[in-house]
Amino acid sequence: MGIEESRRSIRTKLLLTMGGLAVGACLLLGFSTIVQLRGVTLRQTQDSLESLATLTAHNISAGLDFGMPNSVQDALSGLFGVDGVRFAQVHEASGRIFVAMGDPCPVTFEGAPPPGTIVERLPEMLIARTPVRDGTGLVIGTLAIGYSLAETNRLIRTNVLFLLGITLALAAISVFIGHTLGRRLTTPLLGLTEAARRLSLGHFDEPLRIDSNDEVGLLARTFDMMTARLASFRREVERTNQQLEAKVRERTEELRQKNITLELQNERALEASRLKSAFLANVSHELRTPLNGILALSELLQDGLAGDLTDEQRAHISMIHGSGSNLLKLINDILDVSKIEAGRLELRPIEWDILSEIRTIATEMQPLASSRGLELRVQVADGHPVWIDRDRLRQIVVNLLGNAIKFTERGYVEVSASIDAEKERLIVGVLDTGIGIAPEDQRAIFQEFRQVDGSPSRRYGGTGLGLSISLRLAELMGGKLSVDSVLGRGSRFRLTVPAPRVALGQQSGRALSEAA
Amino acid sequence: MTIPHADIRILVAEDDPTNQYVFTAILRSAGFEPTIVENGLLALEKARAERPQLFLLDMMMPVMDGYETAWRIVQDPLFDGIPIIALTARAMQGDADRTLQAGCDDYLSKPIRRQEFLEKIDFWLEADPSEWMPRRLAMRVPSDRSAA
Repeated sequence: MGIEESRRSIRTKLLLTMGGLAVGACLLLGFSTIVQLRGVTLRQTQDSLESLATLTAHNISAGLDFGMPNSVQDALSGLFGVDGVRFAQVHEASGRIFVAMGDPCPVTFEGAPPPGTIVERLPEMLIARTPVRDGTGLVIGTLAIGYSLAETNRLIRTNVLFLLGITLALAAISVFIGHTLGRRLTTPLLGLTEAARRLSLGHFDEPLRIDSNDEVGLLARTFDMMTARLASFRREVERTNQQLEAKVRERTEELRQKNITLELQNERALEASRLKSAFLANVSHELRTPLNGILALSELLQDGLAGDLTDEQRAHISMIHGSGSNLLKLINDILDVSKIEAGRLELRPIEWDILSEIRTIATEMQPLASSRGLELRVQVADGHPVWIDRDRLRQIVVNLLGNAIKFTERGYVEVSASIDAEKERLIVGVLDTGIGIAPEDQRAIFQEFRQVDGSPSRRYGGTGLGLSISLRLAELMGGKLSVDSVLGRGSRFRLTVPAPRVALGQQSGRALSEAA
Repeated sequence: MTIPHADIRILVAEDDPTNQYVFTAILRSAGFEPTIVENGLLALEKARAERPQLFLLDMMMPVMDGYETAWRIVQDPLFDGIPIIALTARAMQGDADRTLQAGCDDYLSKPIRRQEFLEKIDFWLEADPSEWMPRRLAMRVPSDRSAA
């Protein structure tokens, strides 16, 4: 749109300028000529009329002087041979008309005859008046001759029309020339505009091909040069881009390959982990199936359901049952370690009065302590339901208490538990007067298959996994398990785990979700 | 209050011969006369022939495992009112939940303890079906698929 407007503007300007100049000049020149011509013609006519009047006045002098109208008429009739003479009148000195010929006079004359020949100009007529003198020079009358200007005016009108015709022709020629010139000027400009537009769209490869030696041609050539430069710049940029893209592709491909490798490795790792879990599940099942037989049948025998046993047989059966139980415990512990290591052990917190639970555990462990001649002291406060994984916490406490009883020959074992309501955590302490743990061993006891003497110990039994599992479970619950011990004097294990109080409004909801 | 066991039919699906013997021995010691089959498919066949009062299903069995068997028992109105106790290896976390989701009413972990085992059986024999059947009915899919 803008381009169209500017093109029109340039052409219009050219046309207006050229046409206006030509027409203006023509009109100015023509009219001044016509005006001059008219002036000259009028003056000549006037002069001729003046001469004619003077001469005629002389010719009619005698006729008027002697009162001979016919003679005057004769003299005057010759006037009408001249084109344009319309009337002739002769007045006596008194003003009375002596002779009147031709058209009636459009004006009336008053007063005395003029002193010399005068010419009056009316729009369509020249009227000459001249005094008629007798032989002595005395004014005896006036001669008036009317000369029509119709012919002169017609001539001038023709001239004006002719002038207008020429002006029109000139204007037409100007328009034509202006149009042509305009096109010659605007075409390359439009070409440039179009080229600039294409350039802006990214077409650098088409030169303008404007053959012209003027400024427009120079502009076009400069434009072509600029386009060529731009094209070469663009090729450069494109080449660089392509190189960059190639590099990016290369790197992307490398990354993709690495990703594939990683994914494969990850898949293999996951598959391995899955297989390990499946393997463990299967092994566990396969081990439990015969264990079920061993334990259940030894129970049947112990209970005398297959008949009475000798004391020796009873002792053997008891050992079989004990070994089976240990094996089962070992299987369970190994499974726990595997699950924790694989990150597959999920906590299942429920709302539970965990302090009561700990008292129950102590009660359950009482017979074991008594059988070893140990006192089991219980210092557990009254509690309230908290949010905790009951089974896993139970597992830890049973393990700690079991260890304390196992590694204590004399004295007592004490379990204490309380809830720090402010920090919302459970604190459990298990203290014994047992063999204790040397400082250098206090870290090692939390590792798998380690007891204080550094090897799987048969002296104290157990799998050597209990403390390791307890520590990992405590950490999984967001808590801590630590030991403080003096060799030969005893040990104190301290467990702290988060135990958020169950809000009143949440109790029913949690109970429901647990039930589901 | 112990109910007389002699006329109680307990159907046990268990593939391991030793455990078949163990379960038989324990159940007999309590006066039951159990029927033992080797897999779930046989259990379903047997159950259709002689409607038992209790199912004891091992979960890991060839041909048809305990989960599938429990699911089919749940879907079949013929077995309404017969409780299912699952016997699991308790190998992985969630095993117990899986048995309940499959439609079992209770579960026992292997190795079993005789006392606990017999107590659980008595509990379910005495349980009122009107209390536990709604859960089973809620698990039943619409009838056009119940035959599956």
